[in-house]
Amino acid sequence: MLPMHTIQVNRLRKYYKVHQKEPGLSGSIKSLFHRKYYDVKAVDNISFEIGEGELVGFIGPNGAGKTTTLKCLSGLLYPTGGLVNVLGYVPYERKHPYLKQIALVMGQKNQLWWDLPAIETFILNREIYEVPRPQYEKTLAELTEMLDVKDILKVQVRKLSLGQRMKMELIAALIHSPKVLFLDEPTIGLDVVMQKKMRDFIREYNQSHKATIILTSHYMDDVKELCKRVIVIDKGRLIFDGQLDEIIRKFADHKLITVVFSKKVPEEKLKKIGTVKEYDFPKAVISVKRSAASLAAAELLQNFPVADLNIEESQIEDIIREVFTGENIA
Amino acid sequence: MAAISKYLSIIRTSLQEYFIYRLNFALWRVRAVMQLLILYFLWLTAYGGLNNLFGYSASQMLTYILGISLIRSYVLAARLSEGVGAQIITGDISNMLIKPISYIRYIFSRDFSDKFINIFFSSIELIVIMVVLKPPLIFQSNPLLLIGTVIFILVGLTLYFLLNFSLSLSAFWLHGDDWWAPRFIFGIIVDFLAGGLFPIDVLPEAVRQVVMLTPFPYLLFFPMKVYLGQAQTSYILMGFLISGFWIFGLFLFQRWLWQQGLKSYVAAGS
Repeated sequence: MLPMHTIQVNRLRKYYKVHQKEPGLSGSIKSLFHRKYYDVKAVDNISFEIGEGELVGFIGPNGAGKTTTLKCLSGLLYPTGGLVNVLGYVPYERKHPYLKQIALVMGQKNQLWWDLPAIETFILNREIYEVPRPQYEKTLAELTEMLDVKDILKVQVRKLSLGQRMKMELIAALIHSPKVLFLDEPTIGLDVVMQKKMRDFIREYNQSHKATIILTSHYMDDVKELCKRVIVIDKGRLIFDGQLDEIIRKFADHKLITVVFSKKVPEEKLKKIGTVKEYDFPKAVISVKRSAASLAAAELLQNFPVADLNIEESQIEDIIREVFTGENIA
Repeated sequence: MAAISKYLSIIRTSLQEYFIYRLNFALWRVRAVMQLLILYFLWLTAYGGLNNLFGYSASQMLTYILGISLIRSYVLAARLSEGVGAQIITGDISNMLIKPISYIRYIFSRDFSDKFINIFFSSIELIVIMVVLKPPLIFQSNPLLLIGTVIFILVGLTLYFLLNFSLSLSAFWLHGDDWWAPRFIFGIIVDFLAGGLFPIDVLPEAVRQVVMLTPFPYLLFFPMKVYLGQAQTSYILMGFLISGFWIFGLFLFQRWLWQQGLKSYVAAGS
Protein backbone atom coordinates (compact mmCIF):
# COMPACT_ATOMS: atom_id res chain seq x y z
CA MET A 1 0.00 0.00 0.00
CA LEU A 2 1.37 3.40 -0.90
CA PRO A 3 1.54 5.86 1.94
CA MET A 4 -0.59 8.97 1.84
CA HIS A 5 2.41 11.15 2.42
CA THR A 6 5.81 11.24 0.82
CA ILE A 7 7.49 11.39 4.21
CA GLN A 8 6.10 9.94 7.39
CA VAL A 9 7.95 10.16 10.67
CA ASN A 10 6.42 8.65 13.75
CA ARG A 11 7.94 9.00 17.21
CA LEU A 12 11.45 9.05 15.77
CA ARG A 13 14.21 8.76 18.34
CA LYS A 14 17.98 8.84 17.88
CA TYR A 15 20.24 8.65 20.91
CA TYR A 16 24.01 8.86 20.74
CA LYS A 17 26.37 7.42 23.30
CA VAL A 18 28.96 9.99 24.16
CA HIS A 19 31.82 9.64 26.56
CA GLN A 20 32.53 12.25 29.10
CA LYS A 21 36.00 13.31 30.09
CA GLU A 22 36.83 15.06 33.29
CA PRO A 23 38.93 18.16 32.74
CA GLY A 24 42.72 18.16 32.87
CA LEU A 25 45.44 15.62 32.32
CA SER A 26 44.38 13.41 35.22
CA GLY A 27 40.92 13.26 33.69
CA SER A 28 42.49 12.24 30.40
CA ILE A 29 44.47 9.44 32.04
CA LYS A 30 41.40 8.26 33.93
CA SER A 31 39.46 8.16 30.69
CA LEU A 32 42.07 5.79 29.23
CA PHE A 33 40.94 3.10 31.63
CA HIS A 34 37.41 3.95 32.50
CA ARG A 35 34.94 5.86 30.42
CA LYS A 36 31.65 7.21 31.51
CA TYR A 37 29.10 7.12 28.75
CA TYR A 38 25.84 8.91 28.65
CA ASP A 39 23.06 9.17 26.11
CA VAL A 40 22.57 12.30 24.12
CA LYS A 41 19.02 12.52 22.89
CA ALA A 42 19.70 14.06 19.49
CA VAL A 43 16.16 13.38 18.34
CA ASP A 44 13.49 12.59 20.87
CA ASN A 45 10.03 11.49 19.81
CA ILE A 46 9.50 13.53 16.72
CA SER A 47 6.50 12.97 14.46
CA PHE A 48 5.47 14.75 11.29
CA GLU A 49 4.24 14.11 7.78
CA ILE A 50 5.19 15.82 4.56
CA GLY A 51 3.23 15.64 1.32
CA GLU A 52 4.47 15.43 -2.23
CA GLY A 53 5.96 18.63 -3.59
CA GLU A 54 6.05 20.40 -0.24
CA LEU A 55 9.00 22.62 0.64
CA VAL A 56 9.45 22.49 4.38
CA GLY A 57 11.97 24.36 6.48
CA PHE A 58 13.60 22.82 9.53
CA ILE A 59 14.76 25.38 11.98
CA GLY A 60 16.47 25.18 15.31
CA PRO A 61 19.73 26.16 16.96
CA ASN A 62 22.97 24.18 16.57
CA GLY A 63 22.62 20.70 17.95
CA ALA A 64 18.82 20.84 17.92
CA GLY A 65 18.58 17.59 15.96
CA LYS A 66 17.84 18.94 12.48
CA THR A 67 20.75 17.26 10.78
CA THR A 68 20.25 14.04 12.71
CA THR A 69 16.65 13.93 11.52
CA LEU A 70 17.77 14.44 7.92
CA LYS A 71 20.34 11.69 8.30
CA CYS A 72 17.67 9.32 9.57
CA LEU A 73 15.43 10.25 6.65
CA SER A 74 18.14 9.71 4.07
CA GLY A 75 19.09 6.34 5.54
CA LEU A 76 22.50 7.19 6.94
CA LEU A 77 21.50 6.52 10.52
CA TYR A 78 19.67 3.70 12.21
CA PRO A 79 17.00 5.24 14.39
CA THR A 80 17.08 4.26 18.06
CA GLY A 81 13.30 3.98 17.91
CA GLY A 82 10.21 5.03 16.01
CA LEU A 83 9.16 4.67 12.41
CA VAL A 84 10.36 6.47 9.32
CA ASN A 85 8.89 5.97 5.90
CA VAL A 86 9.90 7.87 2.79
CA LEU A 87 8.34 7.13 -0.61
CA GLY A 88 7.14 3.83 0.84
CA TYR A 89 10.64 2.72 1.86
CA VAL A 90 12.35 2.31 5.18
CA PRO A 91 15.37 4.59 4.66
CA TYR A 92 18.00 2.74 6.71
CA GLU A 93 17.55 -0.40 4.62
CA ARG A 94 19.18 1.72 1.90
CA LYS A 95 17.56 -0.18 -0.94
CA HIS A 96 18.86 0.99 -4.29
CA PRO A 97 15.42 1.86 -5.72
CA TYR A 98 15.00 4.18 -2.73
CA LEU A 99 18.44 5.75 -2.95
CA LYS A 100 17.87 6.46 -6.64
CA GLN A 101 14.96 8.73 -5.75
CA ILE A 102 16.54 10.85 -3.06
CA ALA A 103 19.46 13.19 -2.61
CA LEU A 104 21.12 14.69 0.42
CA VAL A 105 23.13 17.86 0.06
CA MET A 106 25.29 18.75 3.00
CA GLY A 107 26.69 22.27 2.97
CA GLN A 108 29.76 21.08 4.82
CA LYS A 109 30.43 17.76 3.11
CA ASN A 110 31.51 17.62 -0.48
CA GLN A 111 30.80 14.78 -2.81
CA LEU A 112 32.65 16.39 -5.71
CA TRP A 113 36.03 14.87 -6.54
CA TRP A 114 38.33 17.55 -5.29
CA ASP A 115 41.14 17.16 -7.80
CA LEU A 116 39.01 16.70 -10.90
CA PRO A 117 36.66 19.03 -12.76
CA ALA A 118 33.06 18.86 -11.54
CA ILE A 119 31.93 17.35 -14.83
CA GLU A 120 33.76 14.12 -13.89
CA THR A 121 31.65 13.74 -10.77
CA PHE A 122 28.52 14.32 -12.83
CA ILE A 123 29.53 11.62 -15.29
CA LEU A 124 30.31 9.22 -12.47
CA ASN A 125 26.95 9.93 -10.86
CA ARG A 126 25.25 9.37 -14.20
CA GLU A 127 26.70 5.86 -14.17
CA ILE A 128 26.03 5.21 -10.51
CA TYR A 129 22.41 6.33 -10.74
CA GLU A 130 22.03 4.68 -14.15
CA VAL A 131 20.64 7.82 -15.73
CA PRO A 132 19.97 7.31 -19.46
CA ARG A 133 22.26 9.53 -21.50
CA PRO A 134 19.62 11.71 -23.20
CA GLN A 135 18.02 12.41 -19.83
CA TYR A 136 21.44 13.19 -18.35
CA GLU A 137 22.25 15.65 -21.15
CA LYS A 138 18.90 17.34 -20.72
CA THR A 139 19.13 17.62 -16.93
CA LEU A 140 22.70 18.83 -17.05
CA ALA A 141 21.88 21.47 -19.65
CA GLU A 142 18.92 22.64 -17.61
CA LEU A 143 20.82 22.80 -14.31
CA THR A 144 23.90 24.51 -15.71
CA GLU A 145 21.61 27.03 -17.34
CA MET A 146 19.66 27.69 -14.13
CA LEU A 147 22.81 28.03 -12.05
CA ASP A 148 24.86 29.75 -14.74
CA VAL A 149 27.95 27.55 -14.47
CA LYS A 150 28.45 26.44 -18.06
CA ASP A 151 31.93 27.89 -18.37
CA ILE A 152 33.38 26.34 -15.22
CA LEU A 153 32.33 22.71 -15.70
CA LYS A 154 35.85 21.75 -16.72
CA VAL A 155 37.69 23.62 -13.99
CA GLN A 156 39.27 21.58 -11.22
CA VAL A 157 36.93 21.65 -8.23
CA ARG A 158 39.60 22.85 -5.81
CA LYS A 159 40.04 25.98 -7.90
CA LEU A 160 36.37 26.97 -7.67
CA SER A 161 35.05 29.52 -5.20
CA LEU A 162 32.82 28.33 -2.38
CA GLY A 163 29.71 29.60 -4.14
CA GLN A 164 30.64 27.95 -7.43
CA ARG A 165 31.40 24.74 -5.61
CA MET A 166 28.06 24.75 -3.85
CA LYS A 167 26.31 25.16 -7.20
CA MET A 168 28.25 22.18 -8.52
CA GLU A 169 27.34 20.18 -5.42
CA LEU A 170 23.69 20.87 -6.18
CA ILE A 171 24.07 19.71 -9.77
CA ALA A 172 25.84 16.54 -8.66
CA ALA A 173 22.99 15.85 -6.26
CA LEU A 174 20.26 16.56 -8.79
CA ILE A 175 21.63 14.82 -11.87
CA HIS A 176 19.36 11.83 -11.22
CA SER A 177 16.28 14.04 -10.74
CA PRO A 178 15.48 12.93 -7.19
CA LYS A 179 11.89 13.08 -5.98
CA VAL A 180 12.92 13.91 -2.47
CA LEU A 181 15.67 16.35 -1.65
CA PHE A 182 17.25 16.90 1.74
CA LEU A 183 19.20 20.13 1.93
CA ASP A 184 21.32 20.57 5.02
CA GLU A 185 22.57 24.15 5.32
CA PRO A 186 22.88 24.66 1.57
CA THR A 187 23.71 28.35 1.93
CA ILE A 188 26.23 28.12 4.75
CA GLY A 189 29.24 30.36 4.26
CA LEU A 190 27.87 31.97 1.11
CA ASP A 191 27.65 35.71 0.65
CA VAL A 192 24.30 37.43 0.52
CA VAL A 193 24.09 37.57 -3.26
CA MET A 194 24.96 33.92 -3.63
CA GLN A 195 22.50 32.98 -0.89
CA LYS A 196 19.79 34.67 -2.83
CA LYS A 197 20.74 32.86 -6.03
CA MET A 198 20.64 29.56 -4.20
CA ARG A 199 17.22 30.34 -2.78
CA ASP A 200 15.89 31.29 -6.20
CA PHE A 201 17.20 28.06 -7.58
CA ILE A 202 15.70 25.92 -4.84
CA ARG A 203 12.31 27.57 -5.24
CA GLU A 204 12.39 27.17 -9.00
CA TYR A 205 13.48 23.57 -8.75
CA ASN A 206 10.73 22.77 -6.28
CA GLN A 207 8.11 24.25 -8.58
CA SER A 208 9.35 22.89 -11.87
CA HIS A 209 10.08 19.34 -10.67
CA LYS A 210 7.40 18.92 -8.01
CA ALA A 211 10.19 17.70 -5.78
CA THR A 212 9.60 17.32 -2.08
CA ILE A 213 12.24 19.33 -0.26
CA ILE A 214 13.30 19.59 3.34
CA LEU A 215 15.67 22.41 4.06
CA THR A 216 17.59 23.16 7.22
CA SER A 217 19.21 26.50 7.69
CA HIS A 218 20.62 28.87 10.22
CA TYR A 219 19.57 31.76 8.08
CA MET A 220 16.01 32.77 8.76
CA ASP A 221 15.97 34.47 5.37
CA ASP A 222 16.25 31.09 3.66
CA VAL A 223 13.25 29.80 5.51
CA LYS A 224 11.25 33.01 5.31
CA GLU A 225 11.63 33.25 1.58
CA LEU A 226 11.25 29.62 0.65
CA CYS A 227 9.02 27.79 3.07
CA LYS A 228 5.39 28.27 3.90
CA ARG A 229 5.59 25.50 6.41
CA VAL A 230 8.25 25.22 9.06
CA ILE A 231 9.11 22.61 11.63
CA VAL A 232 10.89 23.97 14.66
CA ILE A 233 13.10 21.60 16.61
CA ASP A 234 14.90 22.30 19.82
CA LYS A 235 16.89 19.90 22.02
CA GLY A 236 15.66 16.98 19.96
CA ARG A 237 12.00 17.83 20.38
CA LEU A 238 9.52 19.21 17.93
CA ILE A 239 8.13 22.44 19.31
CA PHE A 240 6.27 23.80 16.33
CA ASP A 241 4.94 22.50 13.03
CA GLY A 242 2.84 24.76 10.87
CA GLN A 243 2.65 27.85 8.72
CA LEU A 244 5.42 30.34 9.23
CA ASP A 245 3.09 33.22 10.02
CA GLU A 246 1.41 31.11 12.69
CA ILE A 247 4.64 31.21 14.66
CA ILE A 248 4.16 34.92 15.02
CA ARG A 249 0.63 34.51 16.28
CA LYS A 250 1.53 31.67 18.57
CA PHE A 251 4.75 32.89 20.10
CA ALA A 252 4.84 36.63 19.67
CA ASP A 253 2.80 38.20 22.41
CA HIS A 254 4.57 41.50 21.90
CA LYS A 255 4.58 44.16 19.26
CA LEU A 256 7.27 46.66 18.51
CA ILE A 257 6.59 50.38 18.46
CA THR A 258 9.14 52.46 16.64
CA VAL A 259 8.95 56.15 17.47
CA VAL A 260 10.86 59.07 16.10
CA PHE A 261 10.89 62.02 18.49
CA SER A 262 11.15 65.64 17.58
CA LYS A 263 12.70 66.56 20.95
CA LYS A 264 14.88 64.61 23.33
CA VAL A 265 12.95 62.55 25.87
CA PRO A 266 14.47 60.96 28.99
CA GLU A 267 14.68 57.19 28.68
CA GLU A 268 13.19 56.79 32.18
CA LYS A 269 9.90 58.11 30.95
CA LEU A 270 9.80 55.71 28.03
CA LYS A 271 10.37 52.77 30.33
CA LYS A 272 6.98 53.34 31.85
CA ILE A 273 5.36 52.52 28.52
CA GLY A 274 7.16 49.31 27.74
CA THR A 275 10.57 47.71 27.44
CA VAL A 276 12.94 50.03 25.66
CA LYS A 277 14.83 47.82 23.26
CA GLU A 278 16.75 50.56 21.60
CA TYR A 279 17.03 54.29 22.15
CA ASP A 280 19.27 56.36 20.03
CA PHE A 281 17.80 59.80 19.69
CA PRO A 282 15.70 60.56 17.74
CA LYS A 283 14.67 56.92 17.26
CA ALA A 284 13.39 54.52 19.93
CA VAL A 285 12.08 50.97 19.72
CA ILE A 286 9.75 49.92 22.50
CA SER A 287 8.32 46.47 23.00
CA VAL A 288 4.83 46.27 24.44
CA LYS A 289 2.27 43.57 25.10
CA ARG A 290 0.22 42.80 22.01
CA SER A 291 -3.05 43.68 23.77
CA ALA A 292 -1.70 46.97 25.07
CA ALA A 293 -0.14 48.10 21.80
CA SER A 294 -2.77 50.61 20.70
CA LEU A 295 -3.05 52.04 24.18
CA ALA A 296 0.69 52.54 24.41
CA ALA A 297 0.73 54.18 20.98
CA ALA A 298 -2.01 56.55 21.99
CA GLU A 299 -0.14 57.50 25.13
CA LEU A 300 3.03 58.16 23.18
CA LEU A 301 1.23 60.36 20.72
CA GLN A 302 -0.51 62.33 23.47
CA ASN A 303 2.30 62.86 25.95
CA PHE A 304 5.48 62.87 23.88
CA PRO A 305 6.86 65.01 21.06
CA VAL A 306 6.38 62.37 18.38
CA ALA A 307 7.43 63.01 14.79
CA ASP A 308 6.66 59.53 13.53
CA LEU A 309 5.29 56.30 14.95
CA ASN A 310 5.04 52.79 13.66
CA ILE A 311 3.66 49.56 15.14
CA GLU A 312 4.91 46.24 13.83
CA GLU A 313 5.08 42.56 14.62
CA SER A 314 8.25 41.31 16.22
CA GLN A 315 10.89 40.09 13.77
CA ILE A 316 10.61 36.39 13.15
CA GLU A 317 14.26 35.99 14.10
CA ASP A 318 13.55 37.49 17.49
CA ILE A 319 10.55 35.28 18.04
CA ILE A 320 12.47 32.17 17.16
CA ARG A 321 15.35 33.22 19.37
CA GLU A 322 12.94 33.85 22.18
CA VAL A 323 11.40 30.43 21.72
CA PHE A 324 14.79 28.74 21.82
CA THR A 325 16.36 30.59 24.66
CA GLY A 326 13.18 30.61 26.67
CA GLU A 327 13.82 34.23 27.47
CA ASN A 328 11.39 37.00 26.99
CA ILE A 329 12.24 39.48 24.31
CA ALA A 330 10.01 42.05 25.91
CA MET B 1 25.59 -4.71 -17.59
CA ALA B 2 24.67 -1.37 -16.16
CA ALA B 3 26.05 -2.55 -12.84
CA ILE B 4 29.46 -3.26 -14.35
CA SER B 5 29.65 0.09 -16.10
CA LYS B 6 29.13 1.77 -12.70
CA TYR B 7 32.29 0.20 -11.40
CA LEU B 8 34.26 0.71 -14.61
CA SER B 9 33.35 4.34 -14.35
CA ILE B 10 34.75 4.47 -10.83
CA ILE B 11 37.99 2.90 -12.05
CA ARG B 12 38.24 5.42 -14.89
CA THR B 13 37.63 8.38 -12.61
CA SER B 14 40.11 7.07 -10.02
CA LEU B 15 42.76 6.64 -12.71
CA GLN B 16 42.37 10.25 -13.72
CA GLU B 17 43.25 11.34 -10.21
CA TYR B 18 46.71 9.80 -10.47
CA PHE B 19 47.93 11.94 -13.30
CA ILE B 20 47.03 15.33 -11.88
CA TYR B 21 50.02 15.86 -9.68
CA ARG B 22 53.01 15.04 -11.85
CA LEU B 23 55.73 15.60 -9.29
CA ASN B 24 53.94 13.51 -6.70
CA PHE B 25 53.47 10.77 -9.24
CA ALA B 26 57.11 10.79 -10.36
CA LEU B 27 58.48 10.76 -6.82
CA TRP B 28 56.18 7.90 -5.90
CA ARG B 29 57.70 5.80 -8.67
CA VAL B 30 61.23 6.86 -7.74
CA ARG B 31 60.54 5.66 -4.22
CA ALA B 32 59.29 2.31 -5.48
CA VAL B 33 62.43 1.79 -7.57
CA MET B 34 64.75 2.83 -4.72
CA GLN B 35 63.02 0.43 -2.36
CA LEU B 36 63.56 -2.38 -4.82
CA LEU B 37 67.18 -1.52 -5.51
CA ILE B 38 68.05 -1.32 -1.82
CA LEU B 39 66.66 -4.80 -1.19
CA TYR B 40 68.33 -6.11 -4.30
CA PHE B 41 71.79 -4.84 -3.41
CA LEU B 42 71.39 -5.80 0.23
CA TRP B 43 70.85 -9.42 -0.69
CA LEU B 44 73.50 -9.31 -3.41
CA THR B 45 76.03 -8.16 -0.81
CA ALA B 46 74.84 -10.75 1.71
CA TYR B 47 75.69 -13.51 -0.72
CA GLY B 48 79.18 -12.20 -1.41
CA GLY B 49 80.88 -15.29 -2.71
CA LEU B 50 78.45 -17.74 -1.07
CA ASN B 51 76.35 -20.13 -3.13
CA ASN B 52 73.70 -20.76 -0.57
CA LEU B 53 71.99 -18.82 2.21
CA PHE B 54 69.00 -20.21 4.14
CA GLY B 55 68.51 -22.82 1.43
CA TYR B 56 68.30 -20.21 -1.33
CA SER B 57 70.89 -19.85 -4.07
CA ALA B 58 71.84 -16.30 -5.05
CA SER B 59 69.81 -16.46 -8.25
CA GLN B 60 66.80 -17.86 -6.36
CA MET B 61 67.00 -15.08 -3.81
CA LEU B 62 67.37 -12.34 -6.41
CA THR B 63 64.48 -13.81 -8.38
CA TYR B 64 62.52 -13.86 -5.14
CA ILE B 65 63.25 -10.22 -4.37
CA LEU B 66 62.42 -8.96 -7.86
CA GLY B 67 59.38 -11.24 -8.14
CA ILE B 68 58.04 -10.06 -4.81
CA SER B 69 58.31 -6.46 -5.92
CA LEU B 70 56.09 -7.28 -8.86
CA ILE B 71 53.59 -9.31 -6.82
CA ARG B 72 53.54 -6.50 -4.29
CA SER B 73 52.10 -4.24 -6.95
CA TYR B 74 49.31 -6.73 -7.60
CA VAL B 75 48.49 -7.61 -4.03
CA LEU B 76 49.43 -4.76 -1.72
CA ALA B 77 48.53 -1.84 -3.97
CA ALA B 78 45.41 -0.72 -2.17
CA ARG B 79 46.12 2.87 -1.38
CA LEU B 80 42.50 3.87 -1.71
CA SER B 81 40.89 1.34 0.57
CA GLU B 82 43.36 2.38 3.23
CA GLY B 83 41.43 5.62 3.51
CA VAL B 84 38.17 3.92 4.45
CA GLY B 85 38.90 4.29 8.16
CA ALA B 86 39.41 8.02 7.84
CA GLN B 87 36.25 8.32 5.74
CA ILE B 88 34.25 6.63 8.46
CA ILE B 89 35.66 8.84 11.20
CA THR B 90 35.17 12.09 9.30
CA GLY B 91 31.76 11.06 7.99
CA ASP B 92 32.89 11.48 4.40
CA ILE B 93 31.67 7.96 3.72
CA SER B 94 28.11 9.34 3.99
CA ASN B 95 28.25 10.56 0.42
CA MET B 96 28.76 7.01 -0.83
CA LEU B 97 26.31 5.42 1.57
CA ILE B 98 23.38 7.33 0.12
CA LYS B 99 24.20 6.28 -3.44
CA PRO B 100 22.75 3.20 -5.11
CA ILE B 101 26.06 1.40 -5.11
CA SER B 102 27.69 -1.38 -3.12
CA TYR B 103 30.32 0.21 -0.95
CA ILE B 104 32.67 -2.78 -0.84
CA ARG B 105 32.59 -3.01 -4.63
CA TYR B 106 33.14 0.71 -4.89
CA ILE B 107 36.25 0.41 -2.75
CA PHE B 108 37.42 -2.64 -4.66
CA SER B 109 37.10 -0.69 -7.90
CA ARG B 110 39.13 2.13 -6.40
CA ASP B 111 41.79 -0.37 -5.37
CA PHE B 112 41.71 -1.91 -8.80
CA SER B 113 42.74 1.38 -10.35
CA ASP B 114 45.61 1.55 -7.87
CA LYS B 115 46.70 -1.95 -8.80
CA PHE B 116 46.43 -1.17 -12.48
CA ILE B 117 48.74 1.82 -12.23
CA ASN B 118 51.16 -0.05 -10.00
CA ILE B 119 51.34 -3.09 -12.23
CA PHE B 120 51.83 -0.98 -15.31
CA PHE B 121 54.70 1.03 -13.93
CA SER B 122 56.43 -1.62 -11.86
CA SER B 123 56.50 -3.92 -14.89
CA ILE B 124 58.28 -1.25 -16.92
CA GLU B 125 60.68 -0.50 -14.09
CA LEU B 126 61.44 -4.17 -13.59
CA ILE B 127 62.24 -4.64 -17.26
CA VAL B 128 64.61 -1.68 -17.14
CA ILE B 129 66.33 -3.11 -14.07
CA MET B 130 66.65 -6.50 -15.73
CA VAL B 131 68.18 -4.97 -18.83
CA VAL B 132 70.59 -2.75 -16.93
CA LEU B 133 71.67 -5.03 -14.07
CA LYS B 134 71.30 -8.37 -15.86
CA PRO B 135 70.66 -10.30 -12.64
CA PRO B 136 70.89 -14.12 -12.79
CA LEU B 137 67.14 -14.81 -12.71
CA ILE B 138 65.22 -18.06 -12.75
CA PHE B 139 62.51 -18.28 -15.39
CA GLN B 140 59.90 -20.86 -14.56
CA SER B 141 58.83 -22.89 -17.57
CA ASN B 142 56.50 -25.42 -15.96
CA PRO B 143 52.98 -24.30 -17.00
CA LEU B 144 51.38 -25.89 -13.94
CA LEU B 145 53.58 -23.88 -11.60
CA LEU B 146 52.89 -20.73 -13.59
CA ILE B 147 49.15 -21.30 -13.31
CA GLY B 148 49.61 -22.01 -9.61
CA THR B 149 51.48 -18.75 -9.22
CA VAL B 150 48.67 -16.79 -10.86
CA ILE B 151 46.06 -18.53 -8.69
CA PHE B 152 47.97 -17.70 -5.52
CA ILE B 153 48.42 -14.11 -6.60
CA LEU B 154 44.63 -13.88 -6.88
CA VAL B 155 44.30 -15.56 -3.48
CA GLY B 156 46.74 -13.04 -2.00
CA LEU B 157 44.91 -10.15 -3.59
CA THR B 158 41.56 -11.28 -2.21
CA LEU B 159 43.00 -11.97 1.22
CA TYR B 160 44.69 -8.61 1.44
CA PHE B 161 41.56 -6.79 0.35
CA LEU B 162 39.46 -8.55 2.98
CA LEU B 163 42.04 -7.99 5.71
CA ASN B 164 42.44 -4.38 4.76
CA PHE B 165 38.71 -3.73 4.56
CA SER B 166 37.94 -5.47 7.86
CA LEU B 167 40.66 -3.50 9.56
CA SER B 168 39.30 -0.25 8.15
CA LEU B 169 35.84 -1.03 9.46
CA SER B 170 37.18 -0.97 13.01
CA ALA B 171 36.93 2.81 12.60
CA PHE B 172 33.18 2.49 13.23
CA TRP B 173 34.04 1.91 16.89
CA LEU B 174 37.07 4.15 17.19
CA HIS B 175 37.33 7.87 17.69
CA GLY B 176 39.38 10.53 16.02
CA ASP B 177 42.88 9.51 15.08
CA ASP B 178 42.56 6.12 16.79
CA TRP B 179 41.68 4.53 13.44
CA TRP B 180 45.27 4.99 12.37
CA ALA B 181 46.92 2.95 15.14
CA PRO B 182 45.73 -0.55 14.14
CA ARG B 183 46.65 0.22 10.55
CA PHE B 184 50.18 1.13 11.55
CA ILE B 185 50.67 -2.20 13.39
CA PHE B 186 49.08 -3.99 10.47
CA GLY B 187 51.58 -2.41 8.08
CA ILE B 188 54.51 -3.62 10.15
CA ILE B 189 53.09 -7.14 10.46
CA VAL B 190 52.50 -7.33 6.72
CA ASP B 191 56.02 -6.13 5.92
CA PHE B 192 57.46 -8.70 8.27
CA LEU B 193 55.27 -11.76 7.86
CA ALA B 194 54.14 -11.53 4.25
CA GLY B 195 57.64 -12.11 2.97
CA GLY B 196 58.22 -8.70 1.44
CA LEU B 197 61.68 -8.27 2.99
CA PHE B 198 62.86 -11.89 3.14
CA PRO B 199 61.42 -15.34 2.43
CA ILE B 200 59.47 -16.76 5.38
CA ASP B 201 61.55 -19.94 5.51
CA VAL B 202 64.47 -17.85 6.67
CA LEU B 203 62.71 -17.88 10.07
CA PRO B 204 63.30 -20.66 12.64
CA GLU B 205 61.22 -23.75 11.90
CA ALA B 206 58.82 -23.42 14.86
CA VAL B 207 58.13 -19.77 14.09
CA ARG B 208 57.70 -20.54 10.43
CA GLN B 209 55.10 -23.20 11.14
CA VAL B 210 53.02 -20.80 13.23
CA VAL B 211 53.35 -18.01 10.68
CA MET B 212 52.15 -20.33 7.92
CA LEU B 213 48.85 -20.70 9.78
CA THR B 214 48.22 -16.93 9.60
CA PRO B 215 46.94 -15.32 6.41
CA PHE B 216 50.07 -13.19 5.93
CA PRO B 217 52.49 -15.48 4.06
CA TYR B 218 49.81 -16.07 1.43
CA LEU B 219 49.96 -12.42 0.43
CA LEU B 220 53.45 -12.39 -1.13
CA PHE B 221 55.62 -15.28 -0.04
CA PHE B 222 53.51 -18.19 -1.18
CA PRO B 223 52.97 -17.26 -4.84
CA MET B 224 56.71 -16.68 -5.21
CA LYS B 225 57.49 -19.95 -3.49
CA VAL B 226 55.27 -21.73 -6.01
CA TYR B 227 56.91 -19.86 -8.88
CA LEU B 228 60.40 -20.87 -7.80
CA GLY B 229 59.30 -24.52 -7.86
CA GLN B 230 60.41 -25.01 -4.28
CA ALA B 231 57.00 -26.08 -3.03
CA GLN B 232 55.85 -29.69 -3.06
CA THR B 233 52.30 -30.59 -4.03
CA SER B 234 51.24 -31.37 -0.45
CA TYR B 235 52.68 -28.05 0.69
CA ILE B 236 50.78 -26.21 -2.03
CA LEU B 237 47.53 -27.98 -1.15
CA MET B 238 47.98 -27.16 2.51
CA GLY B 239 48.55 -23.51 1.59
CA PHE B 240 45.44 -23.56 -0.53
CA LEU B 241 43.36 -24.94 2.33
CA ILE B 242 44.65 -22.48 4.92
CA SER B 243 44.31 -19.43 2.68
CA GLY B 244 40.86 -20.63 1.52
CA PHE B 245 39.79 -20.92 5.13
CA TRP B 246 40.97 -17.36 5.81
CA ILE B 247 39.22 -15.94 2.75
CA PHE B 248 35.97 -17.59 3.74
CA GLY B 249 36.25 -16.50 7.35
CA LEU B 250 37.27 -12.94 6.56
CA PHE B 251 34.51 -12.60 4.01
CA LEU B 252 31.89 -13.45 6.61
CA PHE B 253 33.70 -11.33 9.19
CA GLN B 254 33.81 -8.15 7.09
CA ARG B 255 30.15 -8.57 6.18
CA TRP B 256 29.18 -8.88 9.81
CA LEU B 257 31.41 -5.93 10.74
CA TRP B 258 29.88 -3.81 8.01
CA GLN B 259 26.33 -4.50 9.16
CA GLN B 260 27.18 -3.88 12.81
CA GLY B 261 29.23 -0.84 11.90
CA LEU B 262 26.40 0.81 10.00
CA LYS B 263 24.19 0.44 13.05
CA SER B 264 26.61 2.39 15.16
CA TYR B 265 27.59 4.82 12.42
CA VAL B 266 27.13 8.39 13.55
CA ALA B 267 27.68 10.17 10.23
CA ALA B 268 29.90 12.79 11.80
CA GLY B 269 29.89 16.35 10.56
CA SER B 270 26.88 18.23 9.42
